[in-house]
Amino acid sequence: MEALFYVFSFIAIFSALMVVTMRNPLTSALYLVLCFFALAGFYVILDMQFLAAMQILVYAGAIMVLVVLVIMLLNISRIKNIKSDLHQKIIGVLISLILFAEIVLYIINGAQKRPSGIFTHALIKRIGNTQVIGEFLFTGYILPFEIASILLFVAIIGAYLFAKKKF
Amino acid sequence: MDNYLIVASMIFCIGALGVIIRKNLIVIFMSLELMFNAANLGFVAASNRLNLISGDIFVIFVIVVAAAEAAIALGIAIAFYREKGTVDIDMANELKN
Amino acid sequence: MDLKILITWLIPLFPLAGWFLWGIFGKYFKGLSGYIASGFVAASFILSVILFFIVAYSHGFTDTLYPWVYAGIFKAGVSADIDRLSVIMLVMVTGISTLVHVYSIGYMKGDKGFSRYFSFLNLFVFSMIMLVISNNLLLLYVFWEAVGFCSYILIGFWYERKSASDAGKKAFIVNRIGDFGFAVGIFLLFVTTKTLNYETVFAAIPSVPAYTTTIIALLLFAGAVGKSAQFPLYIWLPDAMEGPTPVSALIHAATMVTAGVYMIARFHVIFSYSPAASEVVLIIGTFTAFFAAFIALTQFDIKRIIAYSTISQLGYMFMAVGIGSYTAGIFHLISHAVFKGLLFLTAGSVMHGLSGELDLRKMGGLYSKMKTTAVTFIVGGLALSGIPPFSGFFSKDAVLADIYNKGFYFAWIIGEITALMTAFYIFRLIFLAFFGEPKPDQNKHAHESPQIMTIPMIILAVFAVIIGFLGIPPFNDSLFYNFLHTDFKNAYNFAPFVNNTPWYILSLISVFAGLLGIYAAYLLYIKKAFDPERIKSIFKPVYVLSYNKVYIDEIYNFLIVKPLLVFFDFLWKVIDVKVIDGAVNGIALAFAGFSAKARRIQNGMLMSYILTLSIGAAALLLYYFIR
Repeated sequence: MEALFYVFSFIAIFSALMVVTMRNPLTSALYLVLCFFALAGFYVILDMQFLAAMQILVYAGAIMVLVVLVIMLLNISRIKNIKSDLHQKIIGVLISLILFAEIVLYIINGAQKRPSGIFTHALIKRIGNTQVIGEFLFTGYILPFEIASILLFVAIIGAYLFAKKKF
Repeated sequence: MDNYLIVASMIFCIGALGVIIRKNLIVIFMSLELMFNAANLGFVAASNRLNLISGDIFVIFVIVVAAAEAAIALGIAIAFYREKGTVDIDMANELKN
Repeated sequence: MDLKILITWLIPLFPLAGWFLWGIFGKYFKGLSGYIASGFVAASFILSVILFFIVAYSHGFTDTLYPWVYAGIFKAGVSADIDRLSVIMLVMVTGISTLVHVYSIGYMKGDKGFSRYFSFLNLFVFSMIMLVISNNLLLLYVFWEAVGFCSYILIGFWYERKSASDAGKKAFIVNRIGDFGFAVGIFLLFVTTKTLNYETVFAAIPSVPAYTTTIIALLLFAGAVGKSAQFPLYIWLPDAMEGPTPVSALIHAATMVTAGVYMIARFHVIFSYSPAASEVVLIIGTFTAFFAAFIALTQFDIKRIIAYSTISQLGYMFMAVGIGSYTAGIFHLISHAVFKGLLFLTAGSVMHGLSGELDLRKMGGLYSKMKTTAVTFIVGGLALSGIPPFSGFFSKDAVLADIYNKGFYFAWIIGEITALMTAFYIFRLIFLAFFGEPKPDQNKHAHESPQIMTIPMIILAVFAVIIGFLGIPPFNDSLFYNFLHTDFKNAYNFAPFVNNTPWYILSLISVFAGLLGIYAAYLLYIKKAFDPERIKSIFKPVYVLSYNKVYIDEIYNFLIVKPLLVFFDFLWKVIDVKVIDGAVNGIALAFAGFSAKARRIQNGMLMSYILTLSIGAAALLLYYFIR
């Protein structure tokens, strides 16, 4: 487990860096897919196989295909040569480092919270994580679930309107 | 759990870095997706640690919102490209004045 | 839900629904809105009568519809306190409202604000019902203001006319003065007793120091002085006659102006534990009764005469509640509501027949042309003069006899003189308008009003005759007294009876005073035994004083309005223009200079926005970390 965690961490962080630094957006997109796979690996370690499947299906499968499709749709030679300013890069790196340092400080200094729920590893393993999530999603969280469906519907219409030739 | 959170925050900061330094609209969008995923990882790790299930449920909602966002953002990218002939974010300066 | 509770809340619901309907969809209903609005109020009336019998044969109750403001010790719900006093008021308010609504269909026919009128009228009925049934002071205050607001919009109903909108404003502002006192009284009451519910307030009052009770009672009475048009705040009521006549009948004669009397009767515990405050009530009431009757003697505008007569009769009611005879006060309130409503409706009918003419000098001999109006008017006049067997006789004499028997002889003498003047001025009006020769410049096309107007008048006239019989056997043994006096059992008996003069002697004096007034009017205006002009010249100073309304408006103008105007002029020219405008402009200039600099940040580059955002996030995290 421990070894797997470090492997996945390495893959995730490396591919994330690649996403940000690659000149060609198509390369970035492929590294992003790799990063998503690594995150899915984390979910498997954390006993949430269902989420891992969702991650791959929706993110790697649907969203990234859409991104790649859009990159293909646009003229790749024209969007490849968008350069960043140097001072912007320096400031960006600086700020990200500060942000990271702060968050790590928070994580280390934060008060450790005792486990308060009842869904232990053993219980989730016994019931099955898909059933647990499903029961919660369709009972306690039914209203957000329905609202999410409306959100998706709105997004479909919105995307259509934006991509239309004339507003 | 701390390890997971540190990895998550690292991915988050890399995403933020991408948003700040890149000028390609599509790469910025992908960096945003990275930040989303970092948050997701934090949710799952925390709810695993605290023996809760609500974090996992939230991840599902985040994925839903991300999907919706992807559709809209890419629509905007296409519209932007059609208007300007590029996806350079510096060309989006109509907000000025 | 219990049936009686359902009925209780249905009563205000009907007019409220009417207000919404005509207010929003009025233009689709056109003429129909009048009929349906009348139907709504009639439904309220029927329910009120049912509730009356429920309460009469069982007992009162309280019910909370919902908790409105519950904050700490401050509790005020939308809740009703149904007892005998409130059901009597409910029946009176909804009954007269129904008749006035029906009458208004005819009176307002063809007015372009027809639906608006009925919407406001329904809103008024709703507010008045809630005022009567509320069981805490906050709710009472809300609807106390609401009826004042309705009065304001209905006085200024024909807002194109400057005099009408001015009269509305005057009524509102003058009421404001009284209501300020009322509000302060409520605050003081809350601070003293830590509650606003009637029951708990009344339970706490006997242990409150007497001077605090007196201050509270006087502040509450200030509200009553404003709302019930007593001296010195009566000046708005005569001007309020600019509104449509049915409004004058409903609001400015029968219901709203009597709210002050109702309020004192409702808070009888507070007032009876403060004899000093009650004495002030008595003095103000007596003075107003005399004063308004004196002004009414010489006026020529028929609506104004009746308005002054209303002020005078309200004075009688305050005399009654000022000596602790609450049942007599309420009885006079009810019978006055009937006959004064009748007088206003008939005056409106005269106006209708003469196309808006109000000047007595241009009327004469109308009896032959409008018989129903004339007969009903005379019934109202006889009731007002206190001639048996009309209702005014029983109620006014109940008040006057209590005043005499409780030993307030001076107030009694003033009351009897006022009764004489009352009979004189109302019959002066009757004789001038309905008898004698038609005047040369009179409208030739005088005609009787349509049936939809005369029928409510006839019904009211019948009630003006029979409602008095609730008062037999006269005075403190009557049906009405026995029905109502249980509600006032908590009152402190600060003015016990000192005499036991039998009622027939006292009424004989009152009736004699009334008849004398009528005879004097007869001599002057029918027989022409004396020339009114000669009388006028003999009593010239008195006449001029009365004709010019004792110059009260002018005195107020000089003492209050002028100095205020000068003061406000100073505020406007110096404080407002120089100080406040200067400050505002200075701040605006400073911001303009600052934003000229700040706009450079807004460079339109998305990247720099994102950068700023991240710096902000980092700084925020840092702040929380080092805090």
